Amino acid sequence: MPELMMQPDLSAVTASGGVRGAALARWQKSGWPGPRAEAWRYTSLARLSDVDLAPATSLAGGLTGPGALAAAGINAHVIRFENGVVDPAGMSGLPGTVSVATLDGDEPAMAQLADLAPAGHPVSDLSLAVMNGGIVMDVAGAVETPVMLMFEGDDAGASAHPAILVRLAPGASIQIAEWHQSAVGLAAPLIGYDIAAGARLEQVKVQAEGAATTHLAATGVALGEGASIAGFSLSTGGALARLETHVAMQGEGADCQLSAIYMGRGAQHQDITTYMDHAVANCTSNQIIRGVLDDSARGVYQGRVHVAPDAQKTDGQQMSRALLLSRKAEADAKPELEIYADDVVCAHGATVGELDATQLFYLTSRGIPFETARAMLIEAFLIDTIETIENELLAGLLRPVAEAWLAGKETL
Amino acid sequence: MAATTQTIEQVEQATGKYKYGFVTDIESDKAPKGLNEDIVRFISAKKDEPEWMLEWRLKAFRRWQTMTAPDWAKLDIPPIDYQDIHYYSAPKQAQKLKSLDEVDPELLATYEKLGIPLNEQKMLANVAVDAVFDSVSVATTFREELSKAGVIFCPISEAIRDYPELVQRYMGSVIPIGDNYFAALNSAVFTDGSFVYIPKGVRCPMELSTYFRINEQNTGQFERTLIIADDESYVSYLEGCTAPQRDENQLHAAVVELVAKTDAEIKYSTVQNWYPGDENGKGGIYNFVTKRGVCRGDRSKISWTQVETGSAITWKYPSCVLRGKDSVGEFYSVALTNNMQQADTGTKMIHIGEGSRSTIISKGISAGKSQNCYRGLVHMQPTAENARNFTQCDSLLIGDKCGAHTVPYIVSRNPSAKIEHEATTSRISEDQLFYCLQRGIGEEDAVSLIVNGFCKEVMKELPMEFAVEAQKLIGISLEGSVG
Repeated sequence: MPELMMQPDLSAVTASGGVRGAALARWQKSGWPGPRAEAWRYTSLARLSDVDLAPATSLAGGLTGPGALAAAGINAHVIRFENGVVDPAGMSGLPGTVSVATLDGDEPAMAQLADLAPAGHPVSDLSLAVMNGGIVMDVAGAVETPVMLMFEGDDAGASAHPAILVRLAPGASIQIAEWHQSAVGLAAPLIGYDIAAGARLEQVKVQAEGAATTHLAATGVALGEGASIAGFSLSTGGALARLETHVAMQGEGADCQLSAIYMGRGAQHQDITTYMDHAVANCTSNQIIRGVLDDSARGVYQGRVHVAPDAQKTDGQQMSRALLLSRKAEADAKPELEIYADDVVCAHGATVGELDATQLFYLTSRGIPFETARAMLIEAFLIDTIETIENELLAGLLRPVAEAWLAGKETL
Repeated sequence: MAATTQTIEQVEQATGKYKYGFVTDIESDKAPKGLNEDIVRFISAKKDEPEWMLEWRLKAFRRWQTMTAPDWAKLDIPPIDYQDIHYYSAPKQAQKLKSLDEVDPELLATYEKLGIPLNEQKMLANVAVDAVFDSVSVATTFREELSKAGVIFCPISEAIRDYPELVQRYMGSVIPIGDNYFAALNSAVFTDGSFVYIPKGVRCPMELSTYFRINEQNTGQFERTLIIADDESYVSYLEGCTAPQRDENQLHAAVVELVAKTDAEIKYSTVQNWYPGDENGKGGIYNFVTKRGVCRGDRSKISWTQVETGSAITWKYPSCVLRGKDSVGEFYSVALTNNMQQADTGTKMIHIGEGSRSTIISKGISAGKSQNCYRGLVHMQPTAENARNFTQCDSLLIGDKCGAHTVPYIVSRNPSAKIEHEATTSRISEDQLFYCLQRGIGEEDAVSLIVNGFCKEVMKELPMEFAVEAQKLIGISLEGSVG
């Protein structure tokens, strides 16, 4: 649809062919999803049509990212992306068994990322095609120090297309934090996590983009036998944000815990979309989603659990709850079960409502000011989700963002 | 296309004089295959319809031509050649059989299992009935009772002639001609159906059942039903029957419209057991139905109950538009698929009125190699102050070759509205089965027992005589799915 969108000189990519050339060809064929695309029925990308963006090709330089603030208190190794371009400084001095290389040019790695990327998602193809460098991170063993991927940028006229492949070797483990806080026009990160047998990834993502930014994330996860991921996303920023995650459980005994909180106010649009593919038997997936919407914000949760014909003993759970704080807010949900095996336990629940008037009355009648009581109840609504994060360090990253939002602050 | 040209020629031969003001009888009792404006005119002329009805049909037909068949359902529908279908054939009076001895014993065995009374068996199997239980006389008695109460219950073709102002006012008011592909098709070519009008303050003295409707036989594949419940009235309408129904027409696209005014209540119950095709998926009915009711008045109520066991492919979403203040919508459904059957069914609850409430209870059972999908929408509009919805969808899988899917759509645009949705998928537990078996209950009976328990919440919503048969139907439909 929006022909105005994305007009960089891509002749070099086309000419080079390979994985990037193929991705570009697919993108040029599909383009942005139109208004009738079922997967995008609640989230319209029409706003992108009148933005003339071009992928950033160089470092903005000299940025003192606000995100660094949050990182300060934590002893993490930081890899920075500015306007989608990696800062080479972060590629050395890595903790433990972590190694990082440039993704571009590594055809097998790019092919792997293309496989992991959410199929049919526009960013999967686009960001792979137009990325600038990108990184591939290998984790060989158990790593103590967390790695923070920090995405910043100040070029409102540019789009950022960081492409990242993270590979955990069998038995490896690591904590990774994604921090997205930029002011670019379009942030379109493409991230693939390939978690081999017995490996474990603890991951958090903070989406705190600028008020005018469109954030479209495509995240793909593959889990080998007995592998596990504990992922948590907090999405509060951006004018429009969609965090889409596809998880392929490819080995028996894999476990996927994926939770998210979205918070919207003003005219924000927050979208959490997930696809759990139980391809083999004996895997578990669990999703807890909470949404808080104020003013005329709109929140969307679309979650699909797919259980393949022989994926017996699958346990797939989804629970989404949305809280509407204003008369003009809107919450949409589409929790989907698609089941082709009989010996499974799958369930989903979804609720939408406002704060309980009797609870509010109870608190205010005991002398607690209305605004405080309201904040307490919202916090209570969110708290059990944040409590699912076992890693205290990662949980500590999220709390200030959620609290800042509750306190009504635009930025941290 | 040669076939189409030929069809057009045939129609022109049959109806050619129409252009010159031809209005009298047409000899042929079957329209040639194919669909075009002349076929629509032919049907309308056959039905001796007024000009406005023909115009309405033509408008629908033109609209249909611009539309495409929906493809979002989880259904694998073989391509349908809409030009290879007879859109009109006069109801044929099949030759009456002398006694039940002449009826296919397999059919009788099924009736027996369903527990259908002997006289009804005769009626269903087209056996001449004695004077005591003459369907026409029974129907006449009922008709007298209904007219005493002021209730209008007649074929829709009769209503178009006798109550044009009611039909013109309400037909298409709930499901507009361009609502969807199949509704547009139905609007263009519907052959008959029922019309019900319950006047103000009247509680319909009996359950209206298609069993006893005169002229009910063979209303054809494009049925159209319109039920209007005026202020403070009540009606319970029963559609279909548990007995297996075969039909030479593969494509069925019915439209049902319900209008409930202030304080009125409509209860609409369906048991659908059309031919599902054989175990290899050969044959079987395509059941593409549009059903919708509007709770127009305050405190009005529409309740849909369905037991769907038949058809090769089901595409059906009985819906409620809850416009009135404190209006109530209900949907209770059991959808059972076996062998190669496919069902994509559910409901839509559109909340507009303040304090409107809806309940959705859906039980899906998949066996064999079938695919069973619940698809439902709950939409709270900004005006739906303090509206409530509760949805529960449970799926039961029998065997490891079938699929059970749940696709709920939830849209909330009012903070005071509360929506709760829950869904589960499971199979018959070995403990349950073992418990039954060790008490001497056969495996098939045990499965039937457990499945009926699973469906109980829906079954209890059915009118009693329907419920008993429907329970047995569930058991019969599952035959051959275990062991």
